[in-house]
Amino acid sequence: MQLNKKLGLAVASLLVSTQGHADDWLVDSGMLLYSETDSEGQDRVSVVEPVVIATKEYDTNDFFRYTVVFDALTGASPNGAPALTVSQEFPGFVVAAGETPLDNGFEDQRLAMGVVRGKPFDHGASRYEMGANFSVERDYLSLGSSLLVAKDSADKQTTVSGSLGLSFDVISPRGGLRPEFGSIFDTVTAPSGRFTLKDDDDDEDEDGYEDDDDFLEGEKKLTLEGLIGISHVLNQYTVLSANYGLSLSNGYLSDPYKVVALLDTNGRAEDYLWEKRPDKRVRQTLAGKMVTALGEHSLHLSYRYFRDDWGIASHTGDMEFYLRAGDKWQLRPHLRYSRQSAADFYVPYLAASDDLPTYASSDYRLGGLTTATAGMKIIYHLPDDRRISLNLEQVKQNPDSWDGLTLNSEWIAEGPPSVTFYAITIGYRTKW
Amino acid sequence: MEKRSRWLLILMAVALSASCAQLKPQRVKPWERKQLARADMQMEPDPVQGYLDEHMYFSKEAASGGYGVGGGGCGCN
Repeated sequence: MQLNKKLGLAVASLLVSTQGHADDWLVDSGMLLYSETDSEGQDRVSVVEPVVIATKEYDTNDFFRYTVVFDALTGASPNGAPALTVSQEFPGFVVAAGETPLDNGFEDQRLAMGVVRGKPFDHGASRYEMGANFSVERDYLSLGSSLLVAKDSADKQTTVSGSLGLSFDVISPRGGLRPEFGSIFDTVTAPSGRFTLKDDDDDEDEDGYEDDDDFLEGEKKLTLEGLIGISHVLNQYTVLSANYGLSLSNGYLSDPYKVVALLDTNGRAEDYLWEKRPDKRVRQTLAGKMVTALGEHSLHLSYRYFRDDWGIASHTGDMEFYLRAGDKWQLRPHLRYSRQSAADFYVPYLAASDDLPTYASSDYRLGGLTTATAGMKIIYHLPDDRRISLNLEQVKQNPDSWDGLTLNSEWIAEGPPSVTFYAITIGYRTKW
Repeated sequence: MEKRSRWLLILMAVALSASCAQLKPQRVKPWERKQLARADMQMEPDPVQGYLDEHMYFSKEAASGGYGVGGGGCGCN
């Protein structure tokens, strides 16, 4: 018995030491290709997004992890106005009757970088992870930092953790800041096809974008997040985890490119106003996850409940199945389902005869929405723990129909169009 | 509810009940952690995919977060 135990310990320590490959770089990289089309047949955003996550591990939980992400977005995005039975005129372009107005010529690039330092303490029973990151776009800057502290129980079967995150964002929309509930007709169209505030075109370059000098000038947003978690090794095959998260955001939380249509009693647009969201948001999440081995296969199940003080509640379930097919191949079918309720201030339009509400947004992502995902990943294992993978996902978003319309419903679409997007990810993992 | 969504939910429920047999608590010794050490048994087996998924749903849905803090914001939502 004693010998068995010693042998077991020797095997276990060998497993641990070969797992980390001290002083190796573990490099995970991937490239996302993404495109979306709506049910009216209009093409929307396309994204190309390469990601590299490189980890230098010195020992168990003792590491530096670097993340570099680049994002290139092009295409069109709904500007918030609903499809009407009449054509709609915006500064610089006209949208045909029956079509959902899109903000065309959307183009942006993003660079994001992050570093996390992980270090054990308390003789390996506890660890911390300290992180810093930034993300830059032409119209957006985000700076963030995070701290996680985790402690294992004596039998190493239970880990409790607490995390804090702080991020500071600056939003400086192309074409200048829009006054919330200001009219879109106070703007002219920039050569790029985007709107520009009429009295704010002095400091722009030839593309109609603001000069880089103005980059830090803009609306600000501050977000503080906290998360407490527990994970538990239930038996030889199953790990469970549960988290509670709370996040407080303060500042400019509107989308500077979205409008709300102001319709008259005949279903014609009198005006389009820049949307206005509250300047505070409190978000809470409760999430659970289970990972279990089924022979050489494994099943990942997770569920998240989300609610915020804007009136949105959502349920999200996710299932991933890792299926071994011989030594080299693995398949990973993936299903995800998410259902959210609408924000209190979500409206398809505003009636011109009514007083303006305190807040309003017609962004369909704040409305009642069902998102269903089906995907399949193929993983091929190469020697030395390297692997390549190909992941294909189809996502369908069905916004709820608008109900309780005060206008004659014949003058307005039943709801936002549904959206289908395809995401292809090519992945490569290697060690240096 | 749309037909496809209903199928998704049913499949998830079947998977959950099928895995209930795996839920018996047990003391796990260090040398019994072979399965748990497998790459596909980690909470996030593919961090790049995890990052991309989170970014995609963050920009397309109102709900986000739940599994960690930090990571950097963006103007996509």
